[in-house]
Amino acid sequence: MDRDEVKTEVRDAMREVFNRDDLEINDDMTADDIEEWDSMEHITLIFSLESRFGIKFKTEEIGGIQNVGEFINVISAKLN
Amino acid sequence: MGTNISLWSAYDRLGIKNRIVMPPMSRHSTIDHGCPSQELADYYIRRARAGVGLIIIEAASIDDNVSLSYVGGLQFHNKTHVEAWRPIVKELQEAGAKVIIQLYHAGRLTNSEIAGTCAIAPSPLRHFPQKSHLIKKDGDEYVHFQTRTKLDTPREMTIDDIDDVQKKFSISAQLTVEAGLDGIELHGAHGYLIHQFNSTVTNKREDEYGMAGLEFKFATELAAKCRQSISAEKILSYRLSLHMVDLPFARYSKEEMDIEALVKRLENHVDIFNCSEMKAGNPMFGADKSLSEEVRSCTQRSIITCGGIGSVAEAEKLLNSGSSDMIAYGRALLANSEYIKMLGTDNFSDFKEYNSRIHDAIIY
Repeated sequence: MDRDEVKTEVRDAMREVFNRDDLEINDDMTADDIEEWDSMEHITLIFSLESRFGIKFKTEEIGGIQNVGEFINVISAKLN
Repeated sequence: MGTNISLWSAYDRLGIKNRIVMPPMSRHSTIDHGCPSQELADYYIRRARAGVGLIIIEAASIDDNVSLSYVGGLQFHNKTHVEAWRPIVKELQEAGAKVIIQLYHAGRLTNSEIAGTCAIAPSPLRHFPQKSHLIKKDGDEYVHFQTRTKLDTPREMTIDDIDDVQKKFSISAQLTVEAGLDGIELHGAHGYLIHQFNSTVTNKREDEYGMAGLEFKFATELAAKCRQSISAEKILSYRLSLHMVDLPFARYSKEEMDIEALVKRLENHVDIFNCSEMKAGNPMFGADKSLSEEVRSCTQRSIITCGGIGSVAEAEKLLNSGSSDMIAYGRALLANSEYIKMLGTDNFSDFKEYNSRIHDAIIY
């Protein structure tokens, strides 16, 4: 799966978690940019991404992620 | 397990008049190197008079430099602090509250502007790049909310550093007795120094203070020494959490922080495990139990549960589940000095919702 495909899948996960069918994402996007993205939904998003990609984030990886682009980078690295 | 425990029932085991706790919440309202301001004293007295059973005074550093996380933070390590607190403690106790003080060390959660020297930690690892009440984002950089400068990459603690920090904790603990306090709480939560020693995420040491063998040597030695300083009659509480100031989404993993092993090591020295949860009663991220439930499954020591607890019914559900012996109200109590009276009368007409911009700046 290349990075663009990962990005599309991350977008779909975020649309589902935040219940926003028209949500578009970019690498610099953070929780500050999405009203629904609070701490509880962040954990829901992590579970959703783990389920979609069949991966598990380590605590240190979660701690290092600062924006959507880094989510995509970590997932891409784990898949490859 | 309890079957019909009221929030207002006495907790006889520790001589506390009810099950209501005011958890430690830093106000940064001090004078003269960490002594409480009059506003801070009045803030605690108002809440004691409103009916809080156990007041845990906010985190106090154990020296005037490297253990401090905050400009204007509370300190408790000399006779001036003892004399400043003695009359306040007496007044709180006369209002019917038991009073203990939380002792802490910043570890890596400080910088040289505040500490006057380089931060120290179990391992030389900089904080996680996550925003919180302490860490703000300034452009691309993460900075301390007061100094607006970066937090240090800490220096790895030597054995002498460890010995020195433990001695300072012991001295502070001993001084709490002179101030008439009913005990202490060790801040083993939220990613400060003690917590940093207890997780593989922050502790990469390969010596006896590392994570191999699950001895939790730093925390266990510290609790034992502080117990010796305050005697068996006083309360020794240990605060723990999964989340850290710089890691709000810590996932529970026995490999990273084995709560059962930690609690088993500590329970001989500790009366209370004060569990700070993201949302009380909810399972920890990545687990099927809440933190309090996990702690209860391995000890019969007293447990305080804290984390967004609202109604009396919600509190009593936790008490009667057996996972909690006491309930801590944080933000509601910050914003409403009379909150305990509101709970008692079921009259919330004057209730104010906590707002960090208002209630972290002004002390009611």
